[in-house]
Amino acid sequence: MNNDEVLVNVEGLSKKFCLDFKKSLWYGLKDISSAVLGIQSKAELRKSEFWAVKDISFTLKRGECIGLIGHNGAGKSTLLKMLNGLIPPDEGKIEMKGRVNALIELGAGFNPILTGRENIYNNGSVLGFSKKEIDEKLDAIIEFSEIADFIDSPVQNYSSGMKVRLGFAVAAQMEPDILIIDEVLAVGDIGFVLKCFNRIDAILQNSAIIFVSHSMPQVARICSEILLMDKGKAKYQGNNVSEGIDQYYSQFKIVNGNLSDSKKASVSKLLINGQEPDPNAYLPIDRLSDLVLDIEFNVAEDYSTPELYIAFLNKDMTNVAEFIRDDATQSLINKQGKISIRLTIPKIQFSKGLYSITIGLLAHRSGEILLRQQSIAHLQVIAEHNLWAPFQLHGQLEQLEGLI
Amino acid sequence: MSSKNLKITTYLPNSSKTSFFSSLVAIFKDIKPAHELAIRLFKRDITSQYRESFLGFFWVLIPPLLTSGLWIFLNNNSIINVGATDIPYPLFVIIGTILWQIFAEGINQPLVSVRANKGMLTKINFPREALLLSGFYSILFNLGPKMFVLAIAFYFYKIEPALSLLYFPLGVLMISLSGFAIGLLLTPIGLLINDVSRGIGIILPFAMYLTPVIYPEPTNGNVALLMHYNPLATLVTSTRDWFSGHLTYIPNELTFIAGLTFLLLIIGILAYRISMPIITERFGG
Repeated sequence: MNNDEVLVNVEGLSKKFCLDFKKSLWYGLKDISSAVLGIQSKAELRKSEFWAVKDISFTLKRGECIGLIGHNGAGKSTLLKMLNGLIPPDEGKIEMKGRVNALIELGAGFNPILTGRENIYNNGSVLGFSKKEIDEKLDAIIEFSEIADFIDSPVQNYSSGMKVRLGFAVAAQMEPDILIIDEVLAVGDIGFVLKCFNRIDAILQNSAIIFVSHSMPQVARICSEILLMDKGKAKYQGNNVSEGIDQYYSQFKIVNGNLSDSKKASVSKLLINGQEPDPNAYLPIDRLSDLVLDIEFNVAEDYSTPELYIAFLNKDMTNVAEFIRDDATQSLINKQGKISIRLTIPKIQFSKGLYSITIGLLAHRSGEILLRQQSIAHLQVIAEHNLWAPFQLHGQLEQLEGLI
Repeated sequence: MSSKNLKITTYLPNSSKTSFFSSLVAIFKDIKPAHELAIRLFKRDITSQYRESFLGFFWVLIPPLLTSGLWIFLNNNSIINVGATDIPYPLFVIIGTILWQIFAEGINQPLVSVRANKGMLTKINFPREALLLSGFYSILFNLGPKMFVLAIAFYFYKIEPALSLLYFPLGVLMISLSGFAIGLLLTPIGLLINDVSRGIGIILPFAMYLTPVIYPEPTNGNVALLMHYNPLATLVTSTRDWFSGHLTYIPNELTFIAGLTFLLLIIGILAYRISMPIITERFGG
């Protein structure tokens, strides 16, 4: 097999887009008439238009996978539509070599009234399989979907997870030279998603993949290069997947949490590793380095021994870690309305990504919330690997001489 | 792997640069896969439609039968007088309204078929002509029950089977195709703006009364002049007369109309193919 074969060649690709709906229709009518009459339209922007994709170039060989990442509206979907041949570019050129398949919507062509079995044929035909091909692959599809018991009942009775399973099972039969994947694995249970990834791995052996996702662990798992898009342009492009992902994370706008500090308590000063964190920026911190928090609280004097609460949330606002004291008898002592603490967490083992810190104070015994300040500071954990789990535990591995 | 010759697809700006001829070649190449997909989509739509319905075929027949019933009733009670017809009036009206229904379905179908699959258009690259074809297959399918009613009428009114009956399917096909061609030409614009399908809905019934569907073609006066320039009038009248055996040849006008229909179809398909990427772009999604 020749792995040097360039399958995808994209040069200086640009596409205009119009946000104003009425204007967009009007431009559409104009474009149709000039296209039908063979009049060449100009490349410059018209009123209310902007470049949804501007000057994107890349090449992909067999066995390579490029990850298109970026925020919503960065131009990823428009770029994909051009690659898939749905819409023409306004500037530049695309060359695709071989059979192109797209996993953009699972279960396209499904009719809810018809049975799963019938819809395998509908979906398969839409994806370009002949009836004969589907006949041959039917058993494999049903087996892959793991919903053989329901295959003869109408698809409208399926759960969304079952529809995804069936849709992917059909799509999994594709043997493309170029595969375009757009955020299709966001739903479905984790077991099935892993199964899908195994299938994608197998496809990748013989093809080039263009992968769009908001899930960085998925991107890190499969991609060999990254194209980070921002406002239609390439912000980062290269083989350093982890660098690309870090840049993607650093683009995130900070969401400052609700400051539910009552008169009972407040944070008067906060230092992270000796510096005051900018509430509107992510503080970079290397994985496995120590995290030191210096916090000064103002606490009403009625509460003599409040309890500290600290939690770490990931970018989906899921609570991934909390701090507890080692010594249950040790408590903070209110000194004329002030409490200063230093909290050291050695060797943080978070995986690469964005985290925010929530700080709170609870009254001793009663558990009354005196203070709860969400997203008081933001961390970006810098790491080489990007893995699925929120933690990678640091441990020691050694091989033993004999049997245990 | 490297030994196999891979097809190279190139996308460039200004699809308009591609000539009409190369577009025609591309359409021709797509016919086979488009047909296969169209059959699938057609089966899907028909099966789901009938699985969800108890009356099924009946719905295809209701519009022409109701219209016929109304006019037969009005005429029998002398509320209106359409003048002498060379075949019994009920038969005249039934044939007329059914032929008109075929024309109307032809006009509506392309837009309906493409609209129904809008979601797929923005996501998947498949031969776009498949949607048109599957729409045309539904029209052909819906001809079945209509022809059945006509067969009953034929038997009931004891019409002598004449050789001209062989021309009748030709007439039906032409009526259907001429409607389809017009609908196809309206499709690109109709997909972008709603006004087109609304306009069709208003103009069609109006056009019916300007066509000898429920009354015979007058021989003089303004209406006669209008009929003279209405190609549909010729189509409907000739097809009806082939059915009843009153016309035994193919009039020259019809040959002309057939040529025109064919030309419009070709232009329509080309316009559809060229405009589809632009429409997909405006659909978003």
